[in-house]
Amino acid sequence: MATWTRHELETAYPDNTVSIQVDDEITVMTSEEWSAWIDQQVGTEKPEEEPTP
Amino acid sequence: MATNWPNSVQTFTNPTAGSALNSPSHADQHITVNDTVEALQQYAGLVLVAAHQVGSGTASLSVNGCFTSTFDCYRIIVGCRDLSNNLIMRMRASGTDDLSASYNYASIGRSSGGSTYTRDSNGNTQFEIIDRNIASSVARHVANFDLWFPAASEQTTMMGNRQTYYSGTNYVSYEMGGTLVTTTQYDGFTLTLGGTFSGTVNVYGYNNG
Repeated sequence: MATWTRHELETAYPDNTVSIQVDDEITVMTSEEWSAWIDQQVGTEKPEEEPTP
Repeated sequence: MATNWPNSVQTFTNPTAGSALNSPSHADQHITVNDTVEALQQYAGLVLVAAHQVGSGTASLSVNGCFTSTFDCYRIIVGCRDLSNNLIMRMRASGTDDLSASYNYASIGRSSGGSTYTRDSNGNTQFEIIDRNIASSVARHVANFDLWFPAASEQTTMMGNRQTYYSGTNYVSYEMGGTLVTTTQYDGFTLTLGGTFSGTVNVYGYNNG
């Protein structure tokens, strides 16, 4: 299964577009938080186009 | 007059503008209303304890203070309008997620295209609530599940079902369950994923009566 690269993640989830919600309070990630969040996803499995039985 | 609820629907005598305080009896009016309100609290089935709209681009939703000793069992409904990765859940106490490797879960699904899918894990750091494996989101992904004893000093058990979409004709219906083997008293939870989602998340308590 393919895995995420940093460039793919940055394209899919640009800075200033990802937020954290606690109850009804929504906070857009700072650039530093976003970068750390992107780092966490690098190398994880990407969704595929076809099912994997 | 005391309330009839839930044996029959309560009827009330409304005073008119010119009614004296003793006809109908002012005290009896209060007694009836008070008893009825108490009966509604006692016999209500599902009680909404939290309701949240999740906006697009949300990487995690944390819900605090929704689990208390008032209820033993809770129903959580999750309706995703878009979901870019597998949605997972972690229990939460006093604003901190439980990241311990104590979550065990299993699920089995059958697709409308005739395929069978299984998802299971022991000693994980989360429950898997919704799985999906296509890149583009063209369908809703939903989950309805119960949590037993989240606020008690005993294991928390999750059981429910979900409907997800893989691709083509593969709309997959799952039965799922799991147990968090810690005995922490949780007051909330976090839904998160390696991506973003949006939708509706409601929490209901099952009234113990």
